[in-house]
Amino acid sequence: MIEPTVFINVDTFHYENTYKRLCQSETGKLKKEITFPTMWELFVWGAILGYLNKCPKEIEKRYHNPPFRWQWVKDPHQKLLIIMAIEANNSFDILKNPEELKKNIEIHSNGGLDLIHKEMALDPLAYHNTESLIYEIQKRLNLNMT
Amino acid sequence: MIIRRIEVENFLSYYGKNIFEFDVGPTLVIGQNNTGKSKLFDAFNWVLFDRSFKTEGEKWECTKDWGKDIVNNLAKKECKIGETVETAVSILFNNEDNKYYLTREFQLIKNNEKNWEIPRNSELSLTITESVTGNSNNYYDKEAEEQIKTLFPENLSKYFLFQGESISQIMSLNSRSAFTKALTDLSRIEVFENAKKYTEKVAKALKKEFEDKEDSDKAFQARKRDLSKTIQDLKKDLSDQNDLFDNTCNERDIAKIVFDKNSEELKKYEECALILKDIEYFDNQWKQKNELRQSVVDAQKKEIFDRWMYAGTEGILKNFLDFYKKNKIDKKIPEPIRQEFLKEMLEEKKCKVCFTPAPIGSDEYKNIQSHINDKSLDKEIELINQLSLVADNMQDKVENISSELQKYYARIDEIDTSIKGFMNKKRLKEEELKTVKPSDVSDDELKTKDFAHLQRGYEESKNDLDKFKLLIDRITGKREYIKQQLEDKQKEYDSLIEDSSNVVERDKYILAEKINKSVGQFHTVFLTKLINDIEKEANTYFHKMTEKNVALSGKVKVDYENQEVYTIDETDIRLQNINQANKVSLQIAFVAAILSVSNKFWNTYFPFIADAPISALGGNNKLTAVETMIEIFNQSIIILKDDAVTDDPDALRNDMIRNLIQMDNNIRNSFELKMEGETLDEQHTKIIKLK
Repeated sequence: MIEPTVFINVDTFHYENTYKRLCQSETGKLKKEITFPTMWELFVWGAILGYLNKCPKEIEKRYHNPPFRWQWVKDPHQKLLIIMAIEANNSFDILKNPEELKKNIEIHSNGGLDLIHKEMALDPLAYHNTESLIYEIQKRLNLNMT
Repeated sequence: MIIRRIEVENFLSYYGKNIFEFDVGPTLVIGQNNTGKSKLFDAFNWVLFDRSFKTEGEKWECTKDWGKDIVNNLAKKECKIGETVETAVSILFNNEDNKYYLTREFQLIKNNEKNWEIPRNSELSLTITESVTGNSNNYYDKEAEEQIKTLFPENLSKYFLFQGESISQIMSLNSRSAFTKALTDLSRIEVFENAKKYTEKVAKALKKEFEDKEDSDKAFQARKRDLSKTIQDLKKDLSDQNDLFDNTCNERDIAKIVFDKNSEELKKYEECALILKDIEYFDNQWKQKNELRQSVVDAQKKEIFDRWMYAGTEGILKNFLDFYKKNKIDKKIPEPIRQEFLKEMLEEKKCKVCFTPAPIGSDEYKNIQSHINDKSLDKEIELINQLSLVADNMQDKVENISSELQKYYARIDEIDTSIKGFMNKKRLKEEELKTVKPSDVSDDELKTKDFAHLQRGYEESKNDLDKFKLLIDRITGKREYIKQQLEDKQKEYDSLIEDSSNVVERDKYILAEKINKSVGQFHTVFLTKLINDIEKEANTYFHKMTEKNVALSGKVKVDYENQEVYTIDETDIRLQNINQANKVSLQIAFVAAILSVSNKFWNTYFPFIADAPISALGGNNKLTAVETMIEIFNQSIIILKDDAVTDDPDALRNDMIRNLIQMDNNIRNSFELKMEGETLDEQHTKIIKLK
């Protein structure tokens, strides 16, 4: 099992370019206006995208100061991430190796963050507020809501 | 009088020489904003009266004030340094059997790109050619002006050169001076006034001769003198009262102008205040709906991070659950073994799952014992089972996200529709405000306007006006009293002088007095008929222009006694606070009636040249007003704004007016004006002949 106190690894590139942009409060911006109020939410969002698109990506350079611990990821998100890791590996054996399990989740989140980053490069308004998150979900479900 | 042609050369928006040909009957000139419509109207004004309307200052200015600006920009641009550029407007018209060719010219010399020299003011020249003999006479400047004044009196120009956009100025027609001018000058009743004055003078002279000659009867002479003196005093009193009446009426007119101005200003600001209030309300509603929208979006945030972000993971969850079930069936995931249950089995020396005996030291016993403290396996199995529960639970929730999202969007759409509605309402009100708001007042000034001050100004001017009205009533009463006394004394005098011994002088005087009275009566009869005719014609035109609009009503009343024109209801009560459309219709109807009656009486015709005469009328009324104008004037040149491209319901649709141009056989000439050229100094009017 993943120890609650272990740190989650994030690629330096995404910490600098995606986490800071989507999770940090700019001057004058209210907490509720920040797209992802906490980092673990963006981590989970990224991991879901990574698992859905089957696009794990190795962390090339770890951010020197890991931003949060595993225990900060609230339930049921911890379990849902593990479920997705098991499904991706098609084996429960991964549970026997907590280090491997954590890494699997991390690289999927890293792959998902890459997708987010690419989308923001194409559309500056992507992920800029709660409504844009809802729009992302709508797109994912292929719903036509015009 | 018929205007045959106007030639406009390098004048304001007209570049080069542009010719408009006219005929008897109507000519329609149409064009959108800034295509040179009003500049054509200005050309008529400039050539006739050396004046052109300056939009920025909203006033008429002569060539001297216009300076180089009166010359077309492109013509100036193309003029070489050291050379001269010329502006000229000419009109050709017929009157009776003569042809008139009037030209006003103005020159500029280009010293350099920025410096222009004006060698002299505009110059006027007139050539009159007799049709029968072909003889011509030329007149220049002052002489030419004198000739033109007799044909186009400047004080009447606002009637035959009708500027619809300055309707408020034209409405000063309600004042006595304008009314009198309109009636006396246009209908030429001053001829009667002169005749009346002359017979009065003769009667007065003969009366003096009769009075100055002593009668043989001393008592009779004394009585005659006394009565004559009394009559003279009464006449003096009456004359004083008449003067007082006139002066008070003039003061009342001034008070009326002030009152009208204050009333109009207050009304405008009141209208503005109401619109501003609406704008504020719609703005607040719009803001509230936006806040509501934001709160709906914000409220969704918890849902997003609890469940919605797993949208699309149904497949993953299903795969996991299938995999879990398969492993379960394959017994790869054993049921978790409770530690207490193992202890019970060891105490009872029996496997309670397969009921095999397990004595101490046996393999069965050792097997049971090996699971004691096997916490990791326990935890792993427990976790896998928990994961299956979470996956199972989440699967349903994820499947519901689509319908929840649809509900969310339905709610947002509903709010968006509402937001859009309030935004549109606000925009409409802002547009309305632009049309109502005085042009010289900014939005900020409007918001801080002191309405109480305006209200006070209105009340004060109303009190002033009421005061004068009361005074006029008193003077009228007194005048009636003096008139009655004068009549009595005059009867007494007439009866007395029957016994006079100076028969010849008396009879001469009586005859002169009879002639004087007859002229007076003839004048009254003529005037009454004239007023009746004008009123009748004005009502016909007014009815034609207003019949299609229920909001416009009333009848035209030409009140000669008080020298006013206004509208009355069915019970002959004067209508108060009539709207702008009614005022315009009244104005056109009255001017048309004056011109029409004058034409009938004197067999001469003023052309009616009108710039945007119907700008203040509503859509339906506009077409009717144009049709009426076409019908009533012997020659009319009507310049209309072609605002078909707007969504304004009050706009005059160009398909309607173009249809009229094509279908109405009376319209022999029609022009459309367009603007050509890309840059400001290259833009100029292009004339397209429609008919």
